[in-house]
Amino acid sequence: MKILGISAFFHDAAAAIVVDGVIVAAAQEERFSRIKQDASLPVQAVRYCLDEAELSMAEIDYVVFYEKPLRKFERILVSQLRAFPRGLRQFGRAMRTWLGSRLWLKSDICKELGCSSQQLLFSEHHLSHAASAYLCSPFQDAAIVTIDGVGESATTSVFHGFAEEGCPKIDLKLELPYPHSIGLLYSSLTAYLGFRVNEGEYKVMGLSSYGQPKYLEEFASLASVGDDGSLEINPRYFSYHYHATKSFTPALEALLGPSRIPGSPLEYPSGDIDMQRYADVAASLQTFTEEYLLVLMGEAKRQTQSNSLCLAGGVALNSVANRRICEEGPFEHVFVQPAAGDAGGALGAALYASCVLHNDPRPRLSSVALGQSFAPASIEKFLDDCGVKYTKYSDDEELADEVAQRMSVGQVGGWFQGRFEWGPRALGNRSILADPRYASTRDRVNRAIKFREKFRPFAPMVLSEDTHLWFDLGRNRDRLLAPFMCSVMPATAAAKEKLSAVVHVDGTARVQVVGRSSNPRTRRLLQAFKKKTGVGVLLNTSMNLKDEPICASPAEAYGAFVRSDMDFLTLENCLIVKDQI
Amino acid sequence: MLADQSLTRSLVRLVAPIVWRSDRKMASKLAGFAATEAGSALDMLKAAELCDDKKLRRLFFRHAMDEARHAKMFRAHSRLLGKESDLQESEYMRSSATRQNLYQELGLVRFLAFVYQAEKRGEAHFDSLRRHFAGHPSLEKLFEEIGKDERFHVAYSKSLLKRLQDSGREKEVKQAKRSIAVQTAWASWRRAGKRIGNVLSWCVLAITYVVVVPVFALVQRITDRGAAHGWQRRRLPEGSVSEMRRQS
Amino acid sequence: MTTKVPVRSVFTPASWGQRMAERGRTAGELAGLLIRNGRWWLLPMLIIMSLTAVLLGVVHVIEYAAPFVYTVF
Repeated sequence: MKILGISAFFHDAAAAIVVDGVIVAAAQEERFSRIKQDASLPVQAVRYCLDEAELSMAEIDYVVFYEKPLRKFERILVSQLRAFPRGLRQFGRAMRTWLGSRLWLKSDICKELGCSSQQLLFSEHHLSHAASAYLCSPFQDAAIVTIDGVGESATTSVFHGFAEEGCPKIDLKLELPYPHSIGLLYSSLTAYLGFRVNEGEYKVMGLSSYGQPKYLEEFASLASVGDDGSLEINPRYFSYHYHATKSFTPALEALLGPSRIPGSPLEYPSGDIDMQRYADVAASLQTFTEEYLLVLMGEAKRQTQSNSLCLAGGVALNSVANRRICEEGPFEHVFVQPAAGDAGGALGAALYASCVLHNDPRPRLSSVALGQSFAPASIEKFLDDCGVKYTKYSDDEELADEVAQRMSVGQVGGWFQGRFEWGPRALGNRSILADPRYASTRDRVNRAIKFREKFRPFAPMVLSEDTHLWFDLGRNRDRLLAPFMCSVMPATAAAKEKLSAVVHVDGTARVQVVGRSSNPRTRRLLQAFKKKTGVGVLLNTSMNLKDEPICASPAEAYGAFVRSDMDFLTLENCLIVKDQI
Repeated sequence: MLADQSLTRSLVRLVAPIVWRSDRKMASKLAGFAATEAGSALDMLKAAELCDDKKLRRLFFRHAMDEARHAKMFRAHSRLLGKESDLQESEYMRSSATRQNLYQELGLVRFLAFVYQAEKRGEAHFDSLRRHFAGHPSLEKLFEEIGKDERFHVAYSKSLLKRLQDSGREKEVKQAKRSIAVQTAWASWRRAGKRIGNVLSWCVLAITYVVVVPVFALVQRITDRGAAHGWQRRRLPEGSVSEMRRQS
Repeated sequence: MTTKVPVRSVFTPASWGQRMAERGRTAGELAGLLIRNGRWWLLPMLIIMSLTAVLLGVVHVIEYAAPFVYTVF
């Protein structure tokens, strides 16, 4: 079957195409529109997916939208009535959005994408997430836990994935209803800490390492956790169910102190009482979330009796919590969908229709390089036409040597090759790379290249055979997560001493393990860097500037290169050096 | 076009003393300019990426690099003028560059007409600001320097349009210029209309909220069994195409 | 570069009539959902809201024609 999956209209719209159980392409709309977390109908991503699969819309068997819009609308209506008379602004906004356009998305999708209504199917939000994790995993039998802000009406779901007569099945065991959501609690506290919701959660995770979980008692009054892994939010402290722009009430500020003004300085280590309080709140939130997730995993185990776990939904992007789930949770094997957020719903919706409905073979997600690529010849022509000076390397080894040499003397550069990555992380195809040995490099990348907050850590990529030298593998249950940077690992004493740019203040790092079969050119670069420095590790961050999506095309990469302090840029086998252009 | 330019100059003269009244305001405005220029750089780069003609490609590329440099200059001056801490919020909100995909949407001739007219307006705007900041230790020079590039952008887009005109596409070029001018004016008109429409629809919805919704909120309260909490058990519907056709 | 759009992916949009018919079916499905869940009493509110939405749509169209039409209201 030829199935196209789409997610849209909330945040991070995406399209994915699955042909006879093979994921041919998957991409977020933001990479084409250049609007960060673009939520609009992913017309350009769909167009790309069709081109990659060499199919027209008429040849597609089904287009699957990742959720049931009418059920979501019903939940919104009811919660608006429950909140009356407090929700005037949110009511106005919701009615304008829904009655104006979203309610009619079926006809809009048909109009914009040119598909017939007979081609269009609708999955369920959490089922799409569950399918995106389970059907890509190597497990036959697994507990599937999906955790995000809210779908149609569920916020957290426990499924059981299993095979019946060779066909994969997904069974819903439990679901937690809105507004009781660990995802929304995390997002509300993200807003309290002065960061943008749906984007600043990474920053809260980074910030949490600078504090101590001193507010756990207060958090216990924000939400209560049942022994059965359920969660109940105390509505006194939150307003996300009726307020259009503010997700917490003055009661939260009375409990935890005044909220942080967005954009106010954050410098650590700090003697400032408020700054330390923010870090302590972040630490308490992170610890509360981790503890809750561990209880939840216990319940998932009880419900399914499975040894394996699949995770998806925005909360599954919390790599620190993932590590604890691997180390302290009841499951032997763990897999996380790398695009765990709503974008992943597009892939899950397509996979569900393909593998569960039509019994196509299940794919194995060994790489997230599912986006657009650019032919080296077209890149050379572009550079020639534009008069950009560059050096072309016909030998990959030579290119790796040159780039490694430059990084070993402190240069920072862009590394662009192959298809762009699926999901929020750059894993060596659209990356900015640097020497991980010096903290000064980290500060420079934060300040002059990414233009982001100083306290935020950078992630390392490491040769798989060297991982144990630098990082504590623990029980190694996160081995399926490590290639996708979905888990953190404690640094060894050697790493703490020698890799100061990539070891966070709490002594951990969000590691990407580069295996022997994955990403050969990046692996070669790591090997060349190791030959020069003795360190098979590089600092890796996504190729984008502050508040922009990751670059997709060579021209965009070049744009980021000239607008920042990067020293060099590789576009496939071409090397461009800043002081030579 | 001349009327358009003189309008820009008069407007800038009129509002500049208010808009640029303090270092903080200046810093915030410059951060906004940086974002706009960075967005233009992305659009010009996209045009360079998509067009086939070598000469055009090189010119678009150079234009993109100029805009990127301007973005950097504006950002640097913004940082100098504003205290970093004060500025973070406005920068945070405004520093991201947005591409409008103009080349794909307009096609070559209309894109060139757009560039020509936008740069002409930009030139007038920056020239007025240069005059406004005469004697300012850094901003006069900044706007002068950027103005030079804008003049080049006006000149090259004008000459490209002329070349197209001379090659027998006179009618098309004239049409494009007209259509872009009309489109720009229409967009401003629509923006104004939309703003007023938004206010009006807020009013209508607010009235509905006060008049209509209470009755239903009451019914909801009477019939409500209370918001569900704790784990819910539900059987997933049988996975079938007919079930998945439903939006509910 | 490689971003030329091949003809195969240029879409053929659905007609206005088809879209309106589809919207009608969606409204019917929503009504069915509310009735099934015992929330049939929400239907009058939705009808009023939809009429309001139509009114707002008309107002928006008029706004495009003349932004200052509000003065006659």
